[in-house]
Amino acid sequence: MDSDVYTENLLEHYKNPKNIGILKNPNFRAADANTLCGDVIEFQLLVKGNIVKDVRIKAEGCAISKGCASMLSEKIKGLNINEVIKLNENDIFEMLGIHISEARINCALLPLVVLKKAINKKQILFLIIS
Amino acid sequence: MLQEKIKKDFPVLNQKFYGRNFIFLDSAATTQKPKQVIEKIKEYYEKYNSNVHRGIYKISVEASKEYEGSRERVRKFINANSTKEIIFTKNATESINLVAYSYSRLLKKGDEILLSKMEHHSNIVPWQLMAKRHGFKLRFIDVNKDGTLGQIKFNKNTRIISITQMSNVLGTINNVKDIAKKAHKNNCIIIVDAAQSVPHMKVDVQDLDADFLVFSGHKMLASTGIGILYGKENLLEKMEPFLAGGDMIKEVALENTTYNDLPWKFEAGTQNIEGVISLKAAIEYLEGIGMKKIELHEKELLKYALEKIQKIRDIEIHSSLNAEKKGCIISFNIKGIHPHDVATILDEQGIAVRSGHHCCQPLMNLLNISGSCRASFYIYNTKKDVDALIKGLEKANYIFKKQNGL
Repeated sequence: MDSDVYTENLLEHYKNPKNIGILKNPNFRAADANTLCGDVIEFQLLVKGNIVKDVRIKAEGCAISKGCASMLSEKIKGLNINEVIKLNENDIFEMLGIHISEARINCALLPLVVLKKAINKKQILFLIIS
Repeated sequence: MLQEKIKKDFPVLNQKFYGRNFIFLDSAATTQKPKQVIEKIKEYYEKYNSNVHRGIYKISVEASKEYEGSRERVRKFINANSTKEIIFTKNATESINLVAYSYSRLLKKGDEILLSKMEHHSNIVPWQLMAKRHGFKLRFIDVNKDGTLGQIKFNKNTRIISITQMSNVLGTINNVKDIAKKAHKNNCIIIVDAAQSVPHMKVDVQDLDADFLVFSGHKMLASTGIGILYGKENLLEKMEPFLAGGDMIKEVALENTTYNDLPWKFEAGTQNIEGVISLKAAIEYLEGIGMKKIELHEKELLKYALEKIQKIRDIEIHSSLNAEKKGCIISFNIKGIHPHDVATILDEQGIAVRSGHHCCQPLMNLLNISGSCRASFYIYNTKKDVDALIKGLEKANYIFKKQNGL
């Protein structure tokens, strides 16, 4: 292998990221940036009856954060939102299947942070309304 | 060129990572330490560890002698007039803050501070704080497309120009001697950020006619946590202390205190004694080689590196390609690969470079990039290190672009 980090799978997601775009009526949405390296990730979700029906992302950044956002968008499509909430760091590392050095952990976790932000924001909103 | 055996003096560089010789190309961030410096620190802790200026017992006298001996060594190294003008701080950042806080009290509302757009955050943020507190105006000198400093214009209310002698991103060397002349003609003082220049070239504060000049020990082989502030005696005398406490006093009553003489007036509390002592060993090591030789070594290395790196596919080099006029720093991007990814691929090959904004976000905005890779060289780097870097960059291109049939 040429690199322990930049596997063909990761690079494929980096070069041709899945689910790029915007949803007409997302009911979950959040964006965040890592100002230190200029990465910007956004997640838009359409959830019906607790099932993630559709996902769109915006991803600008390094191969790790962008590739990870793309993989994550595929992973959560069709999942129950309660399962999505439970996703943790290890799930991300497992999904990536590459060696992530400590210096790059934030790159790998940015998509999950944004995704959770999108869901939590909505939950808080639900709480306020109810 | 300096001989490759210099590397043997640096234990960190004699390691292998991922089965390859470790190559360190981030000396603009901090330098590695030769065993002569490490031994000196060990000597202090094993033979005369004690607080300075206080004890009347044997080892305290010895520690004080070493501590003040280092001050004299620094004085000579930058050709200051007197040791009263050499103040030890925590780092170059603290040195700038010291001047910013203490000298600002001598200015008035509406006065202008002149900075440049190539400054490190440490030469921007303290002045923003002072501008807010005292009502100063900040103005920034532009940076030209070739990475050189734009035109400098003094206004009648410009009181301070604080500027870098060597940019930590572009490597640009600014003619601070000429700027000092103009500043003084305009009744303005000059503060020189010499954190990147002092380790790499002969700097003579009297020749430059700098009013203040700051640098850091850890960027010139000494330990971290030791900074230097040079200031002209008459200016330092006029200024109030920055930090207050022990050692900076002569006599303390409940209401009033008589401050200590220079330079101790600005050295409150127990200082970084090992850092100060390591600085002397570092200067001795550098002067053992000779600053002129170091400068020539880096020029040749830079010329070689620039020649090679230009040939890398999709490379974008920030700053001038003229090795004669800049420090041994190359900032670059490879189109289509994020700088962090380039750095990670190099890291996998045992090569350490910096990637990010290098504490220069205003400059990054000006260059219209969010970050870059930076390779910076020092006395222990060789042409072989450059070759490894080039090979690493080619590999980055290969990994990222092979599937595109490029």
